[in-house]
Amino acid sequence: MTGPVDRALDDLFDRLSGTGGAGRRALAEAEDHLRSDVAESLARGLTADSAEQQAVDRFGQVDGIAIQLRFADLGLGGLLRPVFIGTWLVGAIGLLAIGLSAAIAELMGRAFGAEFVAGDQEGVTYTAERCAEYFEYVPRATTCASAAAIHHWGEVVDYRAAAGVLGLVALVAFALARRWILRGALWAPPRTAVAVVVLALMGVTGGLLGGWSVLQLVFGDTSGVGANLSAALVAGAVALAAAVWAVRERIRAVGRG
Amino acid sequence: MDLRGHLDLLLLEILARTGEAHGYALISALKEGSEGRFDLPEGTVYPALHRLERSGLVSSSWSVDAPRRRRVYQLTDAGAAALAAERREWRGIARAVELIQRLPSRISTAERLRNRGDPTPRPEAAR
Repeated sequence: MTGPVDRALDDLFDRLSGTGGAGRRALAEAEDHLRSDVAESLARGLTADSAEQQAVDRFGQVDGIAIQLRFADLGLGGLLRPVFIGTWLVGAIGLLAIGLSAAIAELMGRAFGAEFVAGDQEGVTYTAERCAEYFEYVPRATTCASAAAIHHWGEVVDYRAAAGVLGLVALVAFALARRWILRGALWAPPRTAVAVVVLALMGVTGGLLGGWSVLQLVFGDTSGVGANLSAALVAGAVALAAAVWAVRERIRAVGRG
Repeated sequence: MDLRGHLDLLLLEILARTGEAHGYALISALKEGSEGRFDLPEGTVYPALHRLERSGLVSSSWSVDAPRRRRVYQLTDAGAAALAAERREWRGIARAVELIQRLPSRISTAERLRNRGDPTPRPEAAR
């Protein structure tokens, strides 16, 4: 069982990852500072636990100090680098999630019909020319509305699949870049931050689209529900995975102490 | 007391007086020298010291005469020059504030209105 000082130092070590010699020096200084403070408090008669806790409280929030140290030692690049890497990863995960929703939309269309995924709202009409285009695209369709729905269903699936491929390319490019170009801890992704941002983005997206889909279903309007519902299901699942990831990262950080 | 913007000057000032010091000693001097008025999160002193070193105003080296290795800081020539300039600026500001504070503290409403050329204070206009 480690005390508050070791936990604070472990936390600082994590947050200074990738800062090289400057970070190592800052960590040594922080350790000397905290141990000196504890020694003084012990000499004044405090218990070891109280002395450590007071030293850590006086030292200040480790996360804020780590950001200041990064900026002081590495300049603006030290702060922007993890933001760049984090944005790259969050973007890739988001695009992959969109790609995954293409598969769900495809399955929903096959199971419940194209109208369920991409049917138009009541009252939407098309010109004769537009209908002809849809019938050209879907000769087997019996009505203009069903031809339009099948056409739109294809678009929903195709565009989302394209986004998924783009996400996969971004992820592979990231892995290759980490292996050959962006090497070392300096370019390590801020995993907890990425997990929290993905959780927030996907959680909000899943909640909004899911809520809207449920409302549509409750009021008996199933036309086009599948487009939102498929996205909501994937967003919810990714949010759940991100929550587990974030909690595991936190447990790992605390457990190591 | 909020030290934002003044911490660098205070650190340079302490180093100018102590010759050389490690972070913990600097913070102790800051607290004791200000009789407890400057009570900041102690860890924030290290980014400030690193920033000052990056700017060439202080230099540092490892000291091994303590139970643990310690980073000891000292003022550079550039730091001494910067400190002198900061002192001049600070004294100028302090003097200006002092002069402002010496201004007559109460001017009556009637006098203010007279100065603006309005002979009598009006009651609040009906809306």
